[in-house]
Amino acid sequence: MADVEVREVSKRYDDVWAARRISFSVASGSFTSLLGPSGCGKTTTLRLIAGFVEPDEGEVRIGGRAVDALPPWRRNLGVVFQNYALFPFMTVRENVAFGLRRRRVADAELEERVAAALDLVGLPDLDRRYPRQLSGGQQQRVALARALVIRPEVLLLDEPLSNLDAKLRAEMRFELKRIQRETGVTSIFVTHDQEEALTLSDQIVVLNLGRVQARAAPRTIWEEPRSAFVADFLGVENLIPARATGVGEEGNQRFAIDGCPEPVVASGASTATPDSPVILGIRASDVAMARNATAQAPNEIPGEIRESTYVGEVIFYQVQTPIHPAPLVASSREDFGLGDNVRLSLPAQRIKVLSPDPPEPDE
Amino acid sequence: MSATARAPQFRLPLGLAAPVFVAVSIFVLVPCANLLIQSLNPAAETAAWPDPVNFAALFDSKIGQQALERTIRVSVIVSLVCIVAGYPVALFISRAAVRWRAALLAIVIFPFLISAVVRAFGWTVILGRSGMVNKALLWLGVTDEPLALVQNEIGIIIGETHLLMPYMILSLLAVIQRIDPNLRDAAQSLGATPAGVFWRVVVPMTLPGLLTGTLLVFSLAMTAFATPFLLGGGRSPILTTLLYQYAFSLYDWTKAATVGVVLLGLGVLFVTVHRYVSGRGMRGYG
Repeated sequence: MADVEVREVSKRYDDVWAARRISFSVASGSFTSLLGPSGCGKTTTLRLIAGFVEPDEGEVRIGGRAVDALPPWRRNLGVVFQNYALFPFMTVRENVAFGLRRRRVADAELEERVAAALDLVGLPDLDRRYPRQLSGGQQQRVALARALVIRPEVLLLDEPLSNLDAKLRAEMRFELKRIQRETGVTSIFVTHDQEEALTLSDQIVVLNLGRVQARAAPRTIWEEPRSAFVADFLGVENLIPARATGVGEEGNQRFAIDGCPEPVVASGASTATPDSPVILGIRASDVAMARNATAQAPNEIPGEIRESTYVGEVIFYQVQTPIHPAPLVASSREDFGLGDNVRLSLPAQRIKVLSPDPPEPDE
Repeated sequence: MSATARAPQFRLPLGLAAPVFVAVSIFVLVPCANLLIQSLNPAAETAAWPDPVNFAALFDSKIGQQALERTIRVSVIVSLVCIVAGYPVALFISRAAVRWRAALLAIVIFPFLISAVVRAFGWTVILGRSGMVNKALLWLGVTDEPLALVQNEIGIIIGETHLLMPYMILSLLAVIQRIDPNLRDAAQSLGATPAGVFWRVVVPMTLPGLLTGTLLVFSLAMTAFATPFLLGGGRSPILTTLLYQYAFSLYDWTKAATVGVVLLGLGVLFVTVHRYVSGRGMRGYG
């Protein structure tokens, strides 16, 4: 097991920065997710660590050692691919044994380690099958066994669950967590799925346009996102532009929103400098809805219901308000009709004060 | 489901293919049977048909033995050279930028666009005693006097390799392009060097193309006529040029038919062996 340190790594393809000064470190034995939309640089970053592409700048250190001069076949890393990348002409057993054969592991030990690896991923009886005879979930388990059997210093996973159906994906998520805990292997996991990142990780690195947007524990990322991009990507439904106007009673900050006569107060931890533009974010589940549209307490906004979607546990409502051109989203277990006038209240402690999106990367 | 219960659309391909079946039967199978019948014609007045004496005579004659051996040797060498030289070219083209690929493919199939006579004449000039190859070898000091590179077996091998290389390259390219690039990355991450990736991943993955290419190159090398006729000279006959000699110089149709049957037999033998090897080698492919 080894820790990984990515230092100021950049990679440019033609005139696009696929990765721009990316830095993060992964503690030995921990699980880090690289999270972001497609094209954000997460796969490029993983490939830089694996050695499949060379960085233009910066360095990658594994176990305290710079690996930039090492080709992929000398790095001793396990890689699991989105499409599994199993060797189609080899049996499951030969696929798993591939890395051991390259290391000239003796037959008896090889047999033992292959069997142990297939056992670990829960496929002890399929070793004579060919990959095409296996389901997607089984193929993914073989890919995991093949990557782990070489006892890699780091396990790199490139969207390994994306090709599986929803039920299998949830199941494999638990499996992945169990296997990572049992082996204690340092893992770096690329995904565009915030739920996967939140459930699996000790640390999440959010990327966008080749840059690191946030780097924190899942709970911190979820509860206290700092930028509008991160909040948006993590499913904060309501993002309202505002302007900081100062600090009010009890240390609450005040914010002016166009179309809202009263200032909105937020008690979030992050502070904004007065008069600077910010984005106020609040989840639909944190917005309270009431039928009476008249009362005007602080942080209350009148609105009219435009659309509703029933998702089982709750009903999501789009509510048109005077403070934002796009409707706000609120969830409730109560039934409201289209066109109903309602009052939304935004609890001060639930409002996240976010920095507006950073400017486009230079060059 | 019984065959009679099939819907009409399943009978249509058979109907469309029928003319080809009939044509092949009449124009291929019938001449082949005729060839076999003629090759068994008795040599002496007293003997009765079928008489295998022509085959005995062919295999007893020095020229017959030489032609048979040379045919096999040339086909094997040409196939091997095409495999060894074809892989790097196919790999190079598969990794070239898309905008270059069409031009590279055009260069590859260029030998098909030149007539056999022009191609042979070109090689005669290049490989002749005062051609550029010999001049270069002399200048480099590799040899003291010009080497005989045409009007012999070497000329046949060079000419046929040039002609048949595109079949190997195109067969390999077709399968190389279908290899998932992630397989290379996966193999490297597991400790395979580039050479290891080639032998352990690329070669097994391209085995179907390699077998197809070998089938094409070997059988075409064995049955080629114009190139060995023009570049081989009179003293290095192979079966096809020997057959020509018997048929059109000596007008001995029986001897010519005998050579023809031997060629046909060689071809059938090779295809049978090839099918057996393919069947074993392809067990892991589905």
